Amino acid sequence: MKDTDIKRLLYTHLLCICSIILSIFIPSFFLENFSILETHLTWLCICSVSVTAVNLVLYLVVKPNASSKRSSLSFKVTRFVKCCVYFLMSCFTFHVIFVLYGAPLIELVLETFLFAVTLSTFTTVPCLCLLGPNIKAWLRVFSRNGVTSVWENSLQITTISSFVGAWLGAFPIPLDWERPWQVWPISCTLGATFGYVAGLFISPLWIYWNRKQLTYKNN
Amino acid sequence: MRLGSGTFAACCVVVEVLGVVLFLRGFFPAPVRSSSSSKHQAEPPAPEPSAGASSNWTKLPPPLFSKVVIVLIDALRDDFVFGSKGVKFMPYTTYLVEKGASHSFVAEAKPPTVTMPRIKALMTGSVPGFIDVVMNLNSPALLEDNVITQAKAAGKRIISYGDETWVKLFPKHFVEYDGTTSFFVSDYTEVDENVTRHLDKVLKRGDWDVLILHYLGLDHIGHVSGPSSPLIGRKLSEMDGVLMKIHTALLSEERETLLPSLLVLCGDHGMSETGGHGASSTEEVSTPLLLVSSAFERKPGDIRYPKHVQQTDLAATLAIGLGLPIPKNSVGHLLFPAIEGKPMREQLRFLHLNTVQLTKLLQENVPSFEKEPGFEQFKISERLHGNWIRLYLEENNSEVLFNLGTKVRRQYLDALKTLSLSLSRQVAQYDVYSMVVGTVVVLEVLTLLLLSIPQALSSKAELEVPLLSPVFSLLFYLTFLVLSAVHVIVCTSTESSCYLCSLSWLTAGGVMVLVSALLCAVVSALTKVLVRGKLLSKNAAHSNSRWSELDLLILLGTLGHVLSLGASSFIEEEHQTWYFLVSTLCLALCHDIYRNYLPGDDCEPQRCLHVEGGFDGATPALQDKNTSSAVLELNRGCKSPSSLGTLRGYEKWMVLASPWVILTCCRLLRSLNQTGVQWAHRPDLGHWLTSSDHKAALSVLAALSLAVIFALIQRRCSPASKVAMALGLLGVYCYRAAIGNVLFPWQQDNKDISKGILEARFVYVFVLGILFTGTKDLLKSQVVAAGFTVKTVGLWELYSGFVLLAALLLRPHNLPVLVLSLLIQTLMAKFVWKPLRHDVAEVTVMHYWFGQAFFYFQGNSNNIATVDISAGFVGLDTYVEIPAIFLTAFATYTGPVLWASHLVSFLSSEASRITAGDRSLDSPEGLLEGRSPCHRALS
Repeated sequence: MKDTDIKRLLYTHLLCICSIILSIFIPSFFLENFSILETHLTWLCICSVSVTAVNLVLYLVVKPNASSKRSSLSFKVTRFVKCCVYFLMSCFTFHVIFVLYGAPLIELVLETFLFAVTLSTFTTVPCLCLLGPNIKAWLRVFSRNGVTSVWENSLQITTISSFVGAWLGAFPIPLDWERPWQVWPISCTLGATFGYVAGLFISPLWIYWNRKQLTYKNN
Repeated sequence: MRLGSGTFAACCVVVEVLGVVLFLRGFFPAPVRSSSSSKHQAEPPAPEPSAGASSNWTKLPPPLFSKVVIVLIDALRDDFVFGSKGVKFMPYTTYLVEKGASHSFVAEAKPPTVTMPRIKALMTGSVPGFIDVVMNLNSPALLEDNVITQAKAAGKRIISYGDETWVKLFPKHFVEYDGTTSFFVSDYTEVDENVTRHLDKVLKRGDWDVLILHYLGLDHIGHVSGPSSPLIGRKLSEMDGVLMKIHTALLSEERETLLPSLLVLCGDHGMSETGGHGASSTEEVSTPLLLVSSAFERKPGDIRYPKHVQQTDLAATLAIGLGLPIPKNSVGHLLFPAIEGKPMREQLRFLHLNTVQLTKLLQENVPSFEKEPGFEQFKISERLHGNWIRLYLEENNSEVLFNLGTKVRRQYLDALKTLSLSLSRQVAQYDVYSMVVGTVVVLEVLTLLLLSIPQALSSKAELEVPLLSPVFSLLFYLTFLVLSAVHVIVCTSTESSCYLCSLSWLTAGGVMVLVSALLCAVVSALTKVLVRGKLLSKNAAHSNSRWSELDLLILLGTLGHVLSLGASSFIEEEHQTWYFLVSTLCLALCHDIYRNYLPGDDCEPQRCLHVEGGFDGATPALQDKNTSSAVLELNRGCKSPSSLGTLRGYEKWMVLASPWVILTCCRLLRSLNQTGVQWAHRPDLGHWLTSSDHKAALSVLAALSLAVIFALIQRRCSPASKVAMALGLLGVYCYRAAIGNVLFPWQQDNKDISKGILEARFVYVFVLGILFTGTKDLLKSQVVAAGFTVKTVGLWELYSGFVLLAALLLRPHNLPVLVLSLLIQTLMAKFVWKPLRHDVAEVTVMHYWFGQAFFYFQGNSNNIATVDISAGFVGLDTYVEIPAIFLTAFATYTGPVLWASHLVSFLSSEASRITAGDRSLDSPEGLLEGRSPCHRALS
């Protein structure tokens, strides 16, 4: 059971990574002068849309968590609307946090907001897919010893690594290398992306490595 | 020998300071000096070299210029004259530069780019050391050989108007002077009018030889509003007018005399993009240097581009121009274009004089001067020069004479350049030996401190210092012998001078004894720790120190900050690191709070139980650190469910909101003062507030800030100091109104600006009163053992005294920094540290982080240019050294000092709270004792 779970996890993660890599290369066939650094905002939009889409499709196909008991249409619709609201709220929260961290308040609003959207896609969207709009479950997953399945464990790892990536991405900004990517928020978005990809890679391996020690409480 | 940990810490600090001083002595090079500089009697000038036939020209050549006017404009950057601003605002000067009889240069100033060292460099030609920055506030008389002293000795009449630094540097040198002070930075019109008003009279009179004008206005504008301010243009036009006036007066006077006169326009240092100066960026070190004289006539079409020269070159040129001996310590070389128009014999004579002076300096400072390329070039050119003189006296063919002369001249110029370069390089040489010894001492003390921390923080707060054992150990003698041998080898073989070698043998031996004794102490402490560590690890595996995320962040953050200092950009932008770390700390605290507060966490009881088990295991080992750490762990383990569950509704919400409030405060402060290098020019709230249009807003803000300060600080003061505090804060506002920073509502136009001496002293009385009552309470608690409450009150009074002093010294636009610092401290203490029961180490490190961040919130940076020296003059009529230095230092380090004193008072109040309320704990002693050394060391 567990090994098959890990295998499925690995495949889904590889698909996510593929979606990010494709979002870098595919648009250059359709758009003039597309490059990550110069048309950064376009890339951010494409990347977040593709990652969201892949996450949704995978959620629908793989169905990692046991389906909820009630599956009426109205319930599904409210759930979806709730998810959207949560996603927007997380975008705004991230935006506020970036500003509190020192991002300019008035200039570069679009850039900052798109960074918030991207970080939300890397962190909030998988949470919403897996846990649903359920704050208590989120808190459980992100507290110590709170995970109950392979999926939640990988979710924990990818989310934390995206955050850490974005955090570390801020460090090159004050350096005087004068590179085009040392500009807010490019280094941070790149850091978040690298962190997310690294998390996607590491989490199946780490879970596989520690599969003997990991015992999940089944609820 | 047993020592209290306070005494031990004090000893360590003393030795540490010694090590640092030794290191700094090696790091900051000793200036190049001529050994005969003490005696001022004039040596006979070097005679003209001659081969065979004797030359009759042994006296100094006569002066080239009858009158010299030096116009020094403070902070004149090269592009203000040669760039687009010069073309726009200084039309007359631009005409002189492009078409007139002038030579223009870009003179490079050596850091530190502060006024006094720069004046010294201009007048002595030597390179002053960094130590002169400290002396910049109080310039003592210049004793070194310099142009002004030489000119006075030669009977020239010198007049100086402008910056009073000149009068202090050269007392009794000027027949007439009017000093303007440079410390009222906000004044940039009157300070220059005080110089210009003398001009007409003096220029008409003409009974002087040297006139020095030092204009400060431009520097003041730079400090207040930066180099792109519209005020700069107006000031430059004013300066252009002054130059035109002087130049026309000189020209009209020249017709009556035989010799031409010289007008020198120079800047002492440049101006950075923020308007400050002091460091070594290109904007700060490039200054214009313009020599104007009718002797420099040029044909039309002769385009002269400004050449890059050193600022020190001016001294030699001036000395030659006035017919004086070149200052002995000058490392500069003659600006050749200035003497280009003279006959060949005179040119060569001037060059020879300069080369001889430089060679003499080289001989006295470099032991192996014979190997220097400059010295060899000097010998060759002197021989050639002799040949030329012989040919000249024999009156040979002028063609041959001219060709040979050109060759000699080129040879001399090369020699001058090489000599000047190698002398300047001498200044920048480190004394590596002293630096290594200093570093070793510092590192040894640091290791000793680290190793003895567990012992010093234990219940007894005492530690065994192995003093006797090193004296009898073999290791001590061996190291001492080896070090002495190394010392002898280094001192006998080294080429450059070395501070330790110049000390007497006894002192050097003392240093060696210190180093080896420290080494032995470190080794013995290390073995002790290792032995104890082994015992402990055998004993039990109870020390399951699971690190929380917060601990990890604190450790990694502090470590990461230290590592980041390896990159120079991170040093320039250190404030960014601290802001980033503090924001992250707030988010981590937020995470901590929410996890502990919000329900649905079923692992908490387990944790608590778990740690309780650890505590049981630890109880037997009562004597040392285990106790304290176990108690702390117990506190931490049980904190969450119990403490937050019992909070009332309002407090609960405050706990949840406080990290966000703190984050918002930090963000606001961040936009108050832009510092650093890359983004320093960005507009910020501070500049908006200080501009004269927004005086009303600033007044409201200042009044509001003072009111909030009172509200926050009074809650734990005794009634008497409450009243003192209120009166003191009122006095602060009155002081600011008196010196014209803020307005009273009833006083709309500020006509009478005073120095505010009376108001400031009124506040000082209350500061001293509050500090005195605080000290009294502290002493009482120590002597009578009145318990923690008295001590806590005393510490709080001390803290509030510091707050009042800071409110007085900080500029009014920085008062929000003080307010928000108090607010954050209150919030943190009440809603974060107390409910979550962070342990002493965590609280201490958080205080340190916030203290550092507040240092930068005040607008400071790692650049010396951002130090606000005006704080040193609050309430003082004249410059008094000790109080001025103390006040400036306090105003600069307000943030760290306030956080440190808050830490002490907070820890003491926590300790008293725990003794008072929490007696059910088995042994709070360990906890309290664990904290008290910290108090002792700090108080």
